[in-house]
Amino acid sequence: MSHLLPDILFYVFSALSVAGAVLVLVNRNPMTCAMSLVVSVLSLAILYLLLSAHFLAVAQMIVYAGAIVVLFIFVIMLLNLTDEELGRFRFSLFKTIGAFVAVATLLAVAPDIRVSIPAPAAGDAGAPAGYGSTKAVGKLLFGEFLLPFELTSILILSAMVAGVVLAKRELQPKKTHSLVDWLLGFFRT
Amino acid sequence: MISITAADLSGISPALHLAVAGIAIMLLDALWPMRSKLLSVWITLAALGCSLTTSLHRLTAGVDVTLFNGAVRMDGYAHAFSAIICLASTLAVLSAPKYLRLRGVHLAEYYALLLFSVCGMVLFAAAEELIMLFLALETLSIPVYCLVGFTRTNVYSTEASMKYFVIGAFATGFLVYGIALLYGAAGSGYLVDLRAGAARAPGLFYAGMTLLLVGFLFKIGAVPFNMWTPDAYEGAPTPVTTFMAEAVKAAPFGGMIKVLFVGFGFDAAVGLWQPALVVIAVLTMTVGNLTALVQTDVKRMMGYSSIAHSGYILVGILAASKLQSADALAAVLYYLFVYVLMNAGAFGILILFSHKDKDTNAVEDLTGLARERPWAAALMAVYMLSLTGLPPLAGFFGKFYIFSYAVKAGYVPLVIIAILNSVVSAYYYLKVIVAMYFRGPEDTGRAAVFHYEGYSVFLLAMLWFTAWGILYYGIHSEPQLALARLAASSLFATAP
Repeated sequence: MSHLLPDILFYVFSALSVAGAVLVLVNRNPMTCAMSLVVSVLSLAILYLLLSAHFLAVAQMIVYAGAIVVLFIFVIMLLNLTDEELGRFRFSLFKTIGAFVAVATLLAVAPDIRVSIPAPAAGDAGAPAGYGSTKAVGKLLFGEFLLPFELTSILILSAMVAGVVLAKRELQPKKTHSLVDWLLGFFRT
Repeated sequence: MISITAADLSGISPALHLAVAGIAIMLLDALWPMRSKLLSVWITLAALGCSLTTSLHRLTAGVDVTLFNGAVRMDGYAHAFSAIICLASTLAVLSAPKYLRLRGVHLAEYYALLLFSVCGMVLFAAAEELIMLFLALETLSIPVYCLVGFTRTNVYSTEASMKYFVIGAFATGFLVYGIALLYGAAGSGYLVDLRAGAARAPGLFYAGMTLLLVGFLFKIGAVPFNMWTPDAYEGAPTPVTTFMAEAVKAAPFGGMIKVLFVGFGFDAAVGLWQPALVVIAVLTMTVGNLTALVQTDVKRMMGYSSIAHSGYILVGILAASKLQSADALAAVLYYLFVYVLMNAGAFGILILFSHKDKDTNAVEDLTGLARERPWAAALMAVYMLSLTGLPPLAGFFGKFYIFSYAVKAGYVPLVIIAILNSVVSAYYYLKVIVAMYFRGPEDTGRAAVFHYEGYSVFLLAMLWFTAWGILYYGIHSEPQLALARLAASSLFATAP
């Protein structure tokens, strides 16, 4: 009985997540696509919750459903495409091939999905206490995955610098005295 | 609980030097913007030099350590790639200051971004785990997207940057999807465990392997994933093209060879990647060379030529995987080393005569160079002949070693196709030499002016070093091959 509710929730939100993802693909209106993406992303967050990954679920909501989709919507509204600009849906050779490849990949992968999930041991009481908490994730990030974590900071730093370089208005620095010049000023006298 | 030890930090120092120098340059630029430009060149060169010497020293000393809970492994293989990449990046940095200064975009950020990218490259060949592999690949790619568009007012540069970014992000999608499926199949992200996935969940495993390979082939510019190469090469500022053609070209091979050899292995059941790579190698060589024939722009031509060279390197990788010998893989590493020298030089000549308003890019622009600037023409001839593969230059020995191991591995038809391709490639490399030596302004109807605008000691040093390297390391290839063998055998020690 106690397993029934999580099971029902799992199936409902898995279906919602897949349906949202499919809607992102087939919709012509970008705004509807973005909203479908929100559905898909939020359903995923619920699935994480069901797996007791609490921190991940919250991060998924804040980062993906919050920040990233909002950014998408900003861009969509800035572009403000009309129906004529969007064009009508047309079949093309590439789309057909793409659909075939997608279905073929799904068929190849489907039988193995069950195998790839480790079977629960007999008498498995579920996730251990504290699993998926902020503390547990933090310990993983600063322990086993320390180097990937630090490399991510370099990655994000370089992406930020790249963005600033490509977008900033003034290329040459203004002829102002900087902190170092100001400090050196004391030695000149 | 922060599990970081002094051994971890010291082991990873080839990458650490670069990241720290990159951050130092940005701080310097913020605190002292008027003086930071030239200083950052020197800081960059010093960091690359430190990494290069550390890597070479540890390679010869046979250092082999697994660090950060198995995330990276700094063995001979990783150190060899680190050395090749640092050398390549040094050459690219030497070519940059003059070009950027003339165009008013000599910014400290250029060097910081370049260093972050190189840091990613060093870690890419060292990664032992899929998350690390992915992050390192992104760290090496994202700064390059920006560098390609560094001359922001130039429409072509911006267009190339945009194209490269979109296609690169697309390729990353393939790679990440492949990683997810492989993780599902193997139940572990560590490369050594991947093979087990083939028996456990073959559908997931092969789908993941295909997607991962597609991601890698995008990065090395193999056919049919090569569309971005010529556009990005042509549009990018020439020093960035230099960087892309040597460092950004060599680095993906580091992770790719490791994933193929250590991750997938050579078992007939798992090694399905080999027949796929044979087809791709043939396509890559042939399409690259045939398209290069009709190009009139040297940068674009070199873009297609770099596609063709990816094909030759794939032949070398196939030979090494069939023979499973360190010697055959050493030939690939030697080829990458030589390839770096030849490309750096060829682009260096283009930079040498590029002026403020006009780049020297077209083959026609080099018409009559030998009469006005005999030394520059002679250097360019050396690079072009070496790219063709003419003895006794290093390019010949690079190809010779790869092809002879491929014959030993039984890939005779593949080698015949490769040699035919080399013959075809002679046409477009020699076209440059013919323009320089046997044609003058009277043939093209307009006089080209060759003068150095903004004399650069860095650039001249780079040109002479690469030419010397091509002449010297061709005949004296033994020390380099010995180092490469040391590196290759450390990879085979972990391969199945």
